Amino acid sequence: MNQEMLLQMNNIRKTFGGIHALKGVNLDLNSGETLGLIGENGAGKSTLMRILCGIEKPDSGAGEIRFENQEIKIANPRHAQELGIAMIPQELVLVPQMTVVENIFLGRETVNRARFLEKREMIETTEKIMRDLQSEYIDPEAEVGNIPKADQQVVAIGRRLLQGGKIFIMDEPTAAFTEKETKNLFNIIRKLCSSGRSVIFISHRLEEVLEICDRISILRDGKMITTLLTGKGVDKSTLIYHMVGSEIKEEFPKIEVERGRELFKAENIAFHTNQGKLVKNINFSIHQGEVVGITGLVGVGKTELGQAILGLRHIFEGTFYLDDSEIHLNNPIEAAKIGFGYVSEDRRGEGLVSDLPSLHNMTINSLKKISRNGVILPKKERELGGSVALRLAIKKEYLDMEAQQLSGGNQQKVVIVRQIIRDATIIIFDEPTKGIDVAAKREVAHLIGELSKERKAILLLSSEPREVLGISDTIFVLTKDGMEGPFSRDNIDYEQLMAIEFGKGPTEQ
Amino acid sequence: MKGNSITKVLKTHMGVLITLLALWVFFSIASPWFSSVYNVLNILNHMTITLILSLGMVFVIASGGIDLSVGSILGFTGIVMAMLLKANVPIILTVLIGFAVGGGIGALTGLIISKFRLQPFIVTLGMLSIVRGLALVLSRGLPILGFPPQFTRFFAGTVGIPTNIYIMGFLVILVTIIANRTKFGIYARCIGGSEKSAILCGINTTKIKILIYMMQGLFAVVASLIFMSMMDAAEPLAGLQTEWLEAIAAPIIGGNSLSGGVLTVFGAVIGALILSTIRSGVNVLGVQAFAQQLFIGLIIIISVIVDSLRQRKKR
Repeated sequence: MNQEMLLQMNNIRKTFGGIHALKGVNLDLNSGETLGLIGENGAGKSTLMRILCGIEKPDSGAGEIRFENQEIKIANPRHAQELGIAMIPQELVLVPQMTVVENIFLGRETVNRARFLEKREMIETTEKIMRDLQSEYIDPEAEVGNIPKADQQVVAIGRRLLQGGKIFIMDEPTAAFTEKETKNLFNIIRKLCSSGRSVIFISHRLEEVLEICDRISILRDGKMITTLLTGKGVDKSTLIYHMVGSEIKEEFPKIEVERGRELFKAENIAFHTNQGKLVKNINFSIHQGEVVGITGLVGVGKTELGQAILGLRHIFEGTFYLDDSEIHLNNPIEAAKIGFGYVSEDRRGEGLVSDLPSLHNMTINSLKKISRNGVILPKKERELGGSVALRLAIKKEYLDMEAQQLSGGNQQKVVIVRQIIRDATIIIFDEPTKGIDVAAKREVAHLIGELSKERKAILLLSSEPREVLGISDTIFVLTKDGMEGPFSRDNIDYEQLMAIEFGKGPTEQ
Repeated sequence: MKGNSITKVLKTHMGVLITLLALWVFFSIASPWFSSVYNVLNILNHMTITLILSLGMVFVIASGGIDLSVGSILGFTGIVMAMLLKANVPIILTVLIGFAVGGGIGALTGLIISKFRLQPFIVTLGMLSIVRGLALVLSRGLPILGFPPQFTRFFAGTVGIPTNIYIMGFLVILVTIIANRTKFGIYARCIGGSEKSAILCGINTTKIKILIYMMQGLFAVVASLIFMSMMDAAEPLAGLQTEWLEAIAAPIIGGNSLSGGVLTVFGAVIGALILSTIRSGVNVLGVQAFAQQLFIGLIIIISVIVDSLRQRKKR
């Protein structure tokens, strides 16, 4: 193996508003190697990579980045790209309406002396790049929007190759892939490496990391815990051990509630995820006052399950029951009518009307309660909104501020207040603590507990195992092979949960 | 290779081609006079202004934008050029100045849209009013009549068939080449398909947008020259009626999507043909002229529905 050092990141620090996302991280990458980068959500993987790609700047003073034996400052994404640092993001930045050739050559088209495109030549080059990357033929003149996702990724890699990429950063590249597509990608990675290029492979799928990576770097809490050479003695449990660490923090104090009768039941549900994967045999029920937590890796279908319950997604099989009678919801309007409340993962996009004051955001789906003869009574709105907001410790002056001006935590509270005012009996929380700070996370967790005290049935969909473990009474794990559970919160610990999440099967290789 | 791309073009435009064919069959049966050579030339003659405006519009639409101001640019540059002709400025110089003015207005529109990151709709709506206002102020609201015969003969004379049809044909070929054989054609679509992608690939989107709207301005001037020559007059209100609407409608009917990313010159040609065919057919049938608008509106709505269904199917 070529052992020349290509990239060194030394003592990289990054602070976001007082929170230390990276506490002096070192990372090095040789040319021709595949480096795995793993860690829990929030461990700092993305931040580190965003710094490498010039999207974020590291804290000044400390730290240096050396690339090809020269100290560099990465000014912006364009600069990173010129250096040859090529991010292959989860959401591909291809133009779906354009052909494979056009996408690969975008911005560096070949033209002849009269400035006309050399189409033939570009098609030939594209075919060659694609042939070098993989055996299966991709039509250079097919529209990118019409080819499978896996092929689109090959196109994205092809584009970066043509742009002179030296380091390929792949963030969860296999999340939506079949086994065959994954194998194909691994072949591509091997080819990239054998031509002297390097790959940083970020994934939650530990068996894949073990299979493809030469070395594996493990981040935890913004620190680089260790870098292991793949091989003897390194297996999945080693990785989990380093990812999790020994200290388990009691982040989410649980409120104990006596549970009531069964309110909601899902029986044998089957649906497709956004990536077109089939999820089936989903069975669970929620009682009054119970918090049911479903965890699982990103992309496994949790959000889609929430959508299926609300009638936003077609289900192929199975039935939902409310109070023992079958329900068939076609849209969220019907769902809201019979008592479902939904707190979306996408707070800004689906949760809030960002230019409206918080107060209006709180009452927006309960206008009947604050109006007479179809006319809204502002005084009544303020009374109702204000009283609930007070209970959740939302400051009075926030009521008149536009929702977009609030912090993430307060925004989330506004969305929750909305469900309380509406008197929802079953509330679905999708990643309720995503993108909010630690203190706000605790508050939201506490709030969910309070809601359960009011006999609400709560479904928590979260990719944060700690959060699920902390707030839920009953826990399920959704994996790519199906749903595991129920586990009672007293009978399962963090490491067991992680082990299920990352797949229980024996390590490959 | 070549044959392949022709069948591909025909295939993607199957819907509109069938529509066009159906209209022809229907009108030909309804009136034998409809498919006479005279009437066919008439149809082509009457679509020149719409189609020439559309040829600029395809790039605007491909980039995810829209230009409402083309009719106004047509009217204003007409007045400017008419006044120059009346002041005995040589024809060539007059035309060049006309292009400079039209292209300049377009470039300014593009500059405002890209520099301030504004919606093309609202910027061109503003330009529509400003430029129309300029035309009215400059002409005091009155038409300017009578131009040198060399001028009108060049842009709307007859050499076997009307000269404006030659001009239209030439421009269709020119634009097809620009769309398919130059970087500019790709970049216009790329901006509409994913502007982020364009920026990440190092494409100067500001420059491309300015060029797109400038080109639209230039085509408005060509349309204006033909309009002036057909009427032997420059009207401050020229291009105010259905011209600018049809300039947007023709590309859309032909499969250019308002959400951007798609560019088909062939589609715009067929779209303009459909509009002109309806206009003529309705005339031939002796239906009230006012009813034309009604049919054209229907066709526009139907074609947008078809477009949206097609997009949904893709997903």
